[in-house]
Amino acid sequence: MREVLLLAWRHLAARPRQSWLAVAGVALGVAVFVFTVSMMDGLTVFFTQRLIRVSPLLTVLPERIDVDRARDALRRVPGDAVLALSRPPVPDDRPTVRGATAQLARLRAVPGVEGASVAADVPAVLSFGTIAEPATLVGVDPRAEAGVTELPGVVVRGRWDALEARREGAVVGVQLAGRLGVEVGDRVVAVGEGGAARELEVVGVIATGLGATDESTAFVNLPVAQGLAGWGPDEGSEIRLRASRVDRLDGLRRRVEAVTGHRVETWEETSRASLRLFRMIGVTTYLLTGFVLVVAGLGIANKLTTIILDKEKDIAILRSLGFSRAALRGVFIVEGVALGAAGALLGCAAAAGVIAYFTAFPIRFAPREGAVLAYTELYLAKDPRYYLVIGVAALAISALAALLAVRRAVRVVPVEVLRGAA
Amino acid sequence: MAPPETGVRGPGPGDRAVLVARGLVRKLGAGAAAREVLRGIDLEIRAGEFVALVGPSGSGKSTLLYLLGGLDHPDAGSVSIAGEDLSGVHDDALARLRNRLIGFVYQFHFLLPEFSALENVLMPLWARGRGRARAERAWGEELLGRVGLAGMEAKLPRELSGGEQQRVAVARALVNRPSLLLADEPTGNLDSVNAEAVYDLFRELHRGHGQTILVVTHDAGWAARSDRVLRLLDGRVVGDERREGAR
Repeated sequence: MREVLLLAWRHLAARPRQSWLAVAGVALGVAVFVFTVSMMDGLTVFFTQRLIRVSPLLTVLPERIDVDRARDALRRVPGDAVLALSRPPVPDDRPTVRGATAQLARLRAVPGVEGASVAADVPAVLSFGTIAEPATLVGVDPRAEAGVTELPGVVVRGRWDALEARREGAVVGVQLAGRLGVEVGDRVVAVGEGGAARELEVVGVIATGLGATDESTAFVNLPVAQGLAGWGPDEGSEIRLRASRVDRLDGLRRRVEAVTGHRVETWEETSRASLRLFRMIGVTTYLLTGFVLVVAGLGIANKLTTIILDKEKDIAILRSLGFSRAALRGVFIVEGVALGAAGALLGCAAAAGVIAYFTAFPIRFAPREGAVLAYTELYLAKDPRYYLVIGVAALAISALAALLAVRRAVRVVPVEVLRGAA
Repeated sequence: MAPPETGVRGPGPGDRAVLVARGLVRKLGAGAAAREVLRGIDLEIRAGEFVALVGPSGSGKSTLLYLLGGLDHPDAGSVSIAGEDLSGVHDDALARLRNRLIGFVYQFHFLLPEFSALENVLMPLWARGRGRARAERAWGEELLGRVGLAGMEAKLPRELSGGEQQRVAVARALVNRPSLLLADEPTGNLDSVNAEAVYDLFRELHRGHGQTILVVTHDAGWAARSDRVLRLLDGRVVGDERREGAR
């Protein structure tokens, strides 16, 4: 084994420029891959943190699962048994949660529920002077909402608390406020779908970082939204819940569904479209970046093929001196793995350095109009697994490249080479 | 200086056959272009013989040498060295047999350029996973000394002259104490002074240590000073001349 290592080392050391180029190729691939993964995961983590901060972890929806279950049961009952049910449940077309106050009381007693708040999402048009913008008015109990989300913490102008004091107050998304041209203290007119209108005073401007909220949402007191929608005082479009454990939502969801009889969504399900988008972007990016590693692997294969071509005579001599095919295969595989390992180590070190630099001196940029996420800072996730997985992948690709290249070396027939060389 | 352990019988041939070849046939090329380079060679070389294989270009000398050295497979016939039959042996097993039984010196030195003179000499031992023990390194140094390169162990091949390189190649061929030393025009690339030095080295190996040697050569001087001259023509042995007391 030591002889194999020595032969491999001497081959590499004899061509330092070529060796370093191959190492640099792998290092570049690894560094770019690690940095890209860190950036993509950073983006997802950034989005997720924002989302969890300003969204309920669980949302009780108007859909009743007991009705759904009855429908399912009806579909499943075979033959004559269908007659056992005289009439199917009448679907409730009004998309609201009824008896919200009683539901709230029951939900607050469920273990794992830390906060609960009724919300009424109502489509409306907000007008300020001659400017009118479609918007979603989210009616909430400001104090209860503060126990469910961190919306009060992302009010950038004015105060969330002012909603409690001003029954006709509104906290407007920052982009929406910009388009309307309103500031704290301005009065806007909200017109609901049924034509009901209310004058509201802007008491705050909110910047959640989530495009959908900042561009088209205004938070108002619950009775205001209920009034515009023509709903009763005990109705809401959803009940928003905060859980004590973000990682154990499935069990809590089942308990809440059992208590309320309504379908319950987790924050991931609510934001599934955005999360899927991030995943797709991530996978695409990983694939593209992965090609850099594959190209680096080809670089190693190329380097080894060059060595093998160049060393064909030496390989023939080694065979004639008694070296086995396995030993020669070992020499070139060791070379490939050594180049891959050196490249992986250098690449990981370079990536760690770049990530550390951009963490210390982050790149900042202005939010884009219409973006899903107000991503204003390059956020880099840090996870040792990036280095481990990508480093091992680089090694595997290098070993594979070596295996491909080495086939030629072990096929060398000494007499053919020596006859030609003589 | 420790003499080689095998092939040592003192000066002069013994009774034991080190190399036996029977009915060797070798065709080169394929299809219609195939031609029979060796046409049924029978020969036997006894321990301690110094044999020159001569013949015009294209007579099949090198082809025969490669067959005898286990570097090539005959289309028909068999070769055995020190009682070991080489026919039908798998490539890796054949490599081990070569390593153990045969030392090869080529027309070109074929030293590995990244390795020192001593490392090149020890290379056949490395092939067996050996060559690191102090005694083995000492044996390599001794061989270098024997070929007149004492003190040049650490030199790379490019730092040596052509004659010195060839002498390192000779030392390498001897490091495994082979039963048979085969050489393919070992002085073909050397000037007359270096050629004479290499010849003297072979002579000394034969006379001083009883090394069995088969040399392919064009050099009439080698042939004249060998114990035995085999003449090859058109793939057949056409002469086998023993020269008692040749010097």
